[in-house]
Formats: sequence, C-alpha cells, structure tokens
Amino acid sequence: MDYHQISDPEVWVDEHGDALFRYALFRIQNGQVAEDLVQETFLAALRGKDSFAGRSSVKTWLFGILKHKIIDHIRKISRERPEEDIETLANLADKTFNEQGVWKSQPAKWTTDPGLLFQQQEFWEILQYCLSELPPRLNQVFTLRELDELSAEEVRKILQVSPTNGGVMLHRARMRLRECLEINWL
Amino acid sequence: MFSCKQATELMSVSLDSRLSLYQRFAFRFHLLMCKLCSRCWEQMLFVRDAMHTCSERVEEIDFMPDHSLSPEACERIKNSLREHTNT
Repeated sequence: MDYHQISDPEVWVDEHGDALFRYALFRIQNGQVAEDLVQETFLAALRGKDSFAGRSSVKTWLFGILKHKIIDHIRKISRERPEEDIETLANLADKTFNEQGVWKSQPAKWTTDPGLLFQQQEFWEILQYCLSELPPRLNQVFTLRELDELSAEEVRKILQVSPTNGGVMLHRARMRLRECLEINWL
Repeated sequence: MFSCKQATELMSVSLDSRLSLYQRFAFRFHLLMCKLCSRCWEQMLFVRDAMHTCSERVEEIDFMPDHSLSPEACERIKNSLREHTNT
C-alpha cells in the first residue's frame, strides 16, 4: 500500500475524483448533487482515515463510502417526496401486453454470449443509457435492488413504497430494461 | 393457466422472494408451454447478471465517460479537506 496515497487526501481528489463523480452522476443524474456526494465522501474518508486498515485499495474504500452516501441521499429525497410512486405507476402505459395479458411486442431471440458481452465497454454504455431512460423512481428501485444488491424489503423501506407498489415497480423496471437492451444492442 | 403478463410478474417476484409451491408449479408449467415467456425469463436473468457484474466491476467500468469533476469542484473539495484537516 502506498503510504503517500493514504496520507494525503488531496491526492485522492486528483486520482479518484473523476471516477467517483462519474459513478455518482450515473446513479443520481444530477451534476450538483453528484459533486456534493463526492465532497461528502472525501470528508468522510478524511475523518475515517486512521481506521482505514489498507485491506483494500484506496479506490475500493472510497467507492464503498460513496455507495453509502448515494443510498443515504436516495433515502432522504424519498422522505421528502414519497407521493411520486403513484404518479410513476399511473404514467406507465403497458405497451408490452394486450388486455388479455398476451404478448403484444414479442421478445426476440438473443444469441449473444454474456461472457463476451460483459468485456465490452460499449455494452456497459448501453446498459447505462437504458437505466437512464427509466423514470427516476424506477431507476432507483431497480439500482438499489440489483446494483447495490439490497433486499426488496430494504429497498421498499428506503424508498418508502408499499410491498405492492415496490413489486410492480421492480417488474416494470425489469421489463423495460429487457426491452431497451433488445432494441439498442441485441 | 395464467396469462403471459402474469407469468412475467411471477418471474420478477421470484427474483425477490420465494414463490409458493403452487406458484412455482404454475410458473414452471407456463414456461414449458410458452416459448416467448421462456425467452423472457432467460433475458430477465441476463439483465440481473449484467447488473451484478456491473456492481462487481464498478471501479473498472467507465461510467458517464464524457463527464468529469470540474476544476472548480476539485478546488472546492480540496479546500474543504484542508479546512477539516486544520480543525
């Protein structure tokens, strides 16, 4: 472990500031908030510097702090405006199935090898695009569940949604993402 | 026999919690009978795997490659670190 890297917090900003900012921007989609979260991350790291044992890299440690900051931010804004859920669900017209619940736009056959696909930066860019196309609350419910790998119950508590709405939102997010990847990549 | 829409709802539920014995049986039976739902199920699993891989490689993937922390923001953050170092 490079002692200089751990001991000088300003080096953290030069070396990891951009990566942290881009990840925060990807998650929150607001430049000002992303900057604030990165600043909070560095300040928290400064406070916790003495307890950082160097078991992981500085970058891994900083990303770990940022992920918690992002979840705290989502929890805070969900407390401030929990009513969005109903609006989000009401605005989502179901274009995938007809009234009898039969496929209207049928899923195509995918022939790609995930192992190869996951090596390609372009795939991750399309995944980011598809996530950004989700309505904000669907994006949050889905990324908390599948990217932060929180349980569905934890996600519902953070977003303050009922089990029914939470389930509907996860279903919609999964279906939309599947469709978006099909249209834009496969 | 439930509809394809209901089958996709159960797919999603099964990724977050354990289905009941009846639900599991009905779900598996539907997938056996319906090529499109079977395809959708594989793709939903693919999306989940992609997200988990994304999570594992969060430090390697270039998120939002066209963006970076502005010089002003860098300076502001460094100033706040200096202030907190000195207090």
